[in-house]
Amino acid sequence: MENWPRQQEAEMYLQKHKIRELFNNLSAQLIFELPNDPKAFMVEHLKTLAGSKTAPEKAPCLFDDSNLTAIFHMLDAAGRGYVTKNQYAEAMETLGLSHFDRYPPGGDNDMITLDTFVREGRKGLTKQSATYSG
Amino acid sequence: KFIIFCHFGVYTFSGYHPLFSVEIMDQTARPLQIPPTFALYAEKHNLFDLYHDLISQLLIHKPADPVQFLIESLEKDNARVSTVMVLGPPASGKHTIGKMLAGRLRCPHLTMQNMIPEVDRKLRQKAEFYLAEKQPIPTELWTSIVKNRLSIQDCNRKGWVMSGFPQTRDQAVALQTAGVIPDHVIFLEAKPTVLAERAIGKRWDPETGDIYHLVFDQPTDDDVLERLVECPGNSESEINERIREFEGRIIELAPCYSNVGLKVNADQPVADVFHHALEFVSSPRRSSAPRNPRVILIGPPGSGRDTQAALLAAKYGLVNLNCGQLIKQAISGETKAGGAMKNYVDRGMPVPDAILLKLLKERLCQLDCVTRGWVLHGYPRTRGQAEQLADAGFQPNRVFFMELGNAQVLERLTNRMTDPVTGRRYQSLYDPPTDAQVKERLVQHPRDTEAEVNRRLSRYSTFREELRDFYASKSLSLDVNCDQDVETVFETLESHIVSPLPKNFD
Repeated sequence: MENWPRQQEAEMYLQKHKIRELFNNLSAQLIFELPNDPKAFMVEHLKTLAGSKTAPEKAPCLFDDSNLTAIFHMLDAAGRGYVTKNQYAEAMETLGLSHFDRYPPGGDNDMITLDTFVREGRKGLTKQSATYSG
Repeated sequence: KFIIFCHFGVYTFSGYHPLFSVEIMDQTARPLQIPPTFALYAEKHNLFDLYHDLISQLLIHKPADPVQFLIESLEKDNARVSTVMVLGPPASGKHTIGKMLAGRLRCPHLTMQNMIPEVDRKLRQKAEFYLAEKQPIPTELWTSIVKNRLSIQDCNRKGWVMSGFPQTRDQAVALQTAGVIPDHVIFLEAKPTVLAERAIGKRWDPETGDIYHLVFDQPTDDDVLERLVECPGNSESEINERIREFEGRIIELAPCYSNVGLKVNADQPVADVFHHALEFVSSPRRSSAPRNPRVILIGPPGSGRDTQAALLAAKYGLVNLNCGQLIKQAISGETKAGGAMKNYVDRGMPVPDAILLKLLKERLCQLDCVTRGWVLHGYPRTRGQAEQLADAGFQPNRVFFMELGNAQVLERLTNRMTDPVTGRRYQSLYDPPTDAQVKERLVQHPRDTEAEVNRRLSRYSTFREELRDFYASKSLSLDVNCDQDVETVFETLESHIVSPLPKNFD
């Protein structure tokens, strides 16, 4: 397919402003909430996003810390207090995160604690949701 | 236009969170199942079109703050904004029609003449300079003028009707690049002799700007009649020259708007032309939303369900779901459900509704059905089954009742024969074998004996009415006459799938 200049401009714009990620996050919320007035819902989401420009952790996100904790406990069914590196990586990917630290503390000996899990998860989720701040 | 693919991270929602399913650790490959709820929701709220518009606007205007831009776009209630162009040769009545449409749609009517006085001073002066020199205004300037005019409140909020512009392909492309894209374009057409006749008798009221004709469209008011003046450029030779010019340009211009355009015969009374134009403009803009047909074919044996389903599946990429086949596959697959079904099938009893529903649910939730759409036949056979299907969240968007009289059914089925050697099927009446040897060894399927066919027919007719009532109450049922050849029936089915359901149905 030829690379028309306008198409390249468009592609650059999409990447610079993370438009695809923005719409992905928006869609995820829509799928989950199924609001009666999707336009109004989208406006709310976008306003929260706009407000998070200076505070990225306030960006709208489908998962919160309690969800991360719940996931951890499901993976650590035996209650040892650790999960393996593979479990951690799978969980991060299933949450839809592509950028996360693959070598967190405790990773070498497959002993990733709840704290590390939640912290890394939160970092990854924030990065993915706060598309606004570069 | 740029088509953007949004990949929904749907696979992250394999369960309802926070009850995050232990699927994460499940390494076995299970076919991905997606509940139909979101697809129905998206269809109901026209989400694809919404996304398409938002993203198009983003790419056209490329705002520095996209989030703010999106908020503003969403908050604007532009659901009813119409953007229309009326194009045509001189004397076709484009400005008349344009003005009438604008009046009816309650939005501004824009022409090359009336836009210039309304725009910013600098642009206006530049334009007037060209006009004074009797030079054509360059495309770039026109684009600025149009954009400027369209940014004024009345267009923003109510839409616009533009007549007589663009005139060249250059101008059309420039407009499109600037993001000025009409939803509907009307191409008025008439023979040159008709146009010439009109042009010569054309008169103009300098006070109101209205156009009249000495023969066809006289003003009722005598005062108006008095002040009418001739329109310049309408002598016979001039008009023919202008028509020729137009014909040369329209060949290149029309393709720019082919997907939103409609040709209207201008050689009719004004009221009729207006009626056609209005009807067209009132019809919804053709959506580029991916077609997700969910079709059910209901009909007696021999009506051609299998044949048509296969054709539809082949042409539109739908998943062909023959209920009988699904059952057979389940049985041969030796699954638990298959085993349960085998018990009933072996004894010649119908498989219970609950088991069938479960089988269908599993199949319909799979990724290929969800993304490509499906054509289901052989189910539902009773109202109960139809209701269960609906309750499970599987809403068809087309239900066809394949009508065929009992006599024709018998004729088609009892004359069906198969050649056991080649497996080829024949029809004694329409498609008999030519070879005498083949003819001798033809066998009939036990299902196709007269007695069997009658039994199947009576079973079908028992439930036919209640099924029709059920789907008619949802404005979904469409009758198709199957006493025709395969291609004709297919065309009928196609036309109903491709075009939106008739609005005033029952």
